[in-house]
Amino acid sequence: MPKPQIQLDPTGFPMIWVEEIEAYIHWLPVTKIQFEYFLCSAPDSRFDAAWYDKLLQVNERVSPSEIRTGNYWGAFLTGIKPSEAERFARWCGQGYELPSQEQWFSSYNSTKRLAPIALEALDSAGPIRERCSRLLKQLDAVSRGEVPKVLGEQRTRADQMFFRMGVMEWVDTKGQRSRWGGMGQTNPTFHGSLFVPDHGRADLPIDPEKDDRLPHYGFRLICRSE
Amino acid sequence: MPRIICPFCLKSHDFSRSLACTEHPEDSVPIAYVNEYNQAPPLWLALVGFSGVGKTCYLDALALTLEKISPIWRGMFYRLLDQYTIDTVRLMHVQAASVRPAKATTGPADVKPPRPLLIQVNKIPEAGSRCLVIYDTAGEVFGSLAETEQYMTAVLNRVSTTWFLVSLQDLKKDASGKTLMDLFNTYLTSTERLGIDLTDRNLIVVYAKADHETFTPEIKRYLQSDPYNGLTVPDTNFGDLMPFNFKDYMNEMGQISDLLEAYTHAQVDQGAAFISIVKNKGINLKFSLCSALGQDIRSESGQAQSHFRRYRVLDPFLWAISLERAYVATPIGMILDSAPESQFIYDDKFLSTLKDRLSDYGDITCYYLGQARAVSAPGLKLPPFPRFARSRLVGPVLDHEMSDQWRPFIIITAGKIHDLNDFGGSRWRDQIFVVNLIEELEQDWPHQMQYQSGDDVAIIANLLMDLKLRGTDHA
Repeated sequence: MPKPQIQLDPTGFPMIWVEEIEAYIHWLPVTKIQFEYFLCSAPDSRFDAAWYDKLLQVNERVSPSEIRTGNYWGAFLTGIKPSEAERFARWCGQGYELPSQEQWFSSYNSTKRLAPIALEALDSAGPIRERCSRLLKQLDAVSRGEVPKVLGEQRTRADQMFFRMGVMEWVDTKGQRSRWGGMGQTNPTFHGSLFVPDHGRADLPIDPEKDDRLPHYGFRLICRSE
Repeated sequence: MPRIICPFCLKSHDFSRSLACTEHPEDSVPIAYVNEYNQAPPLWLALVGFSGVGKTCYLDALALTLEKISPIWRGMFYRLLDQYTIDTVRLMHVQAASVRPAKATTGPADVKPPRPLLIQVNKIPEAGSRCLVIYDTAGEVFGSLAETEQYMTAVLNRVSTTWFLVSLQDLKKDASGKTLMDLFNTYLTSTERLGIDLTDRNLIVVYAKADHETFTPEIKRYLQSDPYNGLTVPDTNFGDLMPFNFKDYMNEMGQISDLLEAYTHAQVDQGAAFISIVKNKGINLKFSLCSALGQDIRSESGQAQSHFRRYRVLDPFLWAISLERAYVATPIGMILDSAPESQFIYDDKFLSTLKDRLSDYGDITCYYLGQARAVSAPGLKLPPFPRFARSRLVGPVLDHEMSDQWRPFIIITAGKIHDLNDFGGSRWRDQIFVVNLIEELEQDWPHQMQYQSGDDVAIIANLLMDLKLRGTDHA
């Protein structure tokens, strides 16, 4: 099996090349640790302490060492609105953006045909910071147990990347009823949902920007530049 | 202009606008000290010894020797940088010119902060130029530090080389039974209480009044054979003096240090214990000897002190020069809350007093919780209360710290820090101290304390430095 091509995003978290979309995609949905780098490097009154406190009320933060099967979704950033996720993408730099619905689905389909990889493969782009490394290991251990238990299936690379059993992820629906939709599947303990990503259709919240924050919605980015 | 350490308050300042010390405004730092800081960097020295041991005599002998040595050290010259140093050295010379011995000028009563002598010595052969910043302190001072604790913290923390002046004869005759070990224990206890780590510091034991001692013949020969003992005698013919070779002279000093250590181990009361404890503390120990006057001044010869020959006066000075490493201040991070509940610490004196206190231990860089970039560099003013409240996050600050050097952070917060637990199992566990401003706020963190308005800020600094000592012990 060819080695996966990896790059690190500006927060030092890994992204993996997906040939079908000709871009890198985040290994995981964007975590709170990653978003905190953004909050701390570009202080913006729009993302002040009260803003982040609200998000943490919606989905409580959990430290890497405290990740368990009953709380791991606390590592991911959720409750975020699409425009806020776009702000994060702009901060990451040229080429970073939220995936379209097709790009997300292609990445999911591509990776669900592949076996999980050894986490050491993610180091190939450069040393990974201690916190990130610990987080990757803990989440990997959780997905190893949860996927067979909850889904009754063997874990694939897509599961290792939490395309399933993670969060609902904002995608650009390119002009459907609402510009922004959601793809993914949550752990039922975190958020009950009958949505499955295999259908290829996006969940379409009515007005993501104006409505209350959705506690189970996060995002991951793609990157076209190397 | 580089960050310059003020010789009076021992903190980094920007002297580009004013030469006044910010903490002792009555004291102006000499312009030569500032302008030539890079060319003649400070060499911080403390001269410690019991009253009457001859510290002032030694300094006088050293000053006289440095005044006269330029024919031997070609190109060398020296300057006394401020009026205090000029007056003090002149007073020493006046005393040297009289027959009667100079009285001890430092004693137990001298507990107020000692003002340093500032002596710039330029173009020392193979050693370059240095500005000697010499603190002359009676040993008894270390036992009564209540009034001068903060100042002595700054001095002891900054000084990398201490001259321990000891007269073995005086100790033998001392009615109270003082020993070399007593002097060191007093010094050590004080530094421990002040949270100062002595690892890698230099301690040079100088056996003063060496003409009185019954050293081994080899040591005695070394003392007597000082080729420069006549330097300060009027009308000396410098052409008769042998040229100075730094390397050869230092080699010989090294051999004598070993012999004196063996002598101390075998012959000096509690000498072996002294050597063991010093080395156990990671202190770099050397031995030296000198005779500042060359003879017993109680003798009835009637000879003026200006005609005395001075033996091996240069040795402690040369040890200090050769052992000196560039002082590297401990970088300390102060991370401040920006939430409205914490505004009071910016308004009252808490932050400035704490920063001032911590500056005795290292260079302070300030951050806000929730902002990775520093908001204030060492020597600069405290940052103001920020315009908007950032999230209580510390990870991006810590994750930027790449160095393995022990670097403590003190975090002052009025609320729970969201990501502090991420570091509980990391190297940061014993490098972060949290100060909680709100009652009953408990972080899940091993090192923290509750602060209330009016509490003694010094406790915070001491607790932080305790972490360093614990970390050093476990290294």
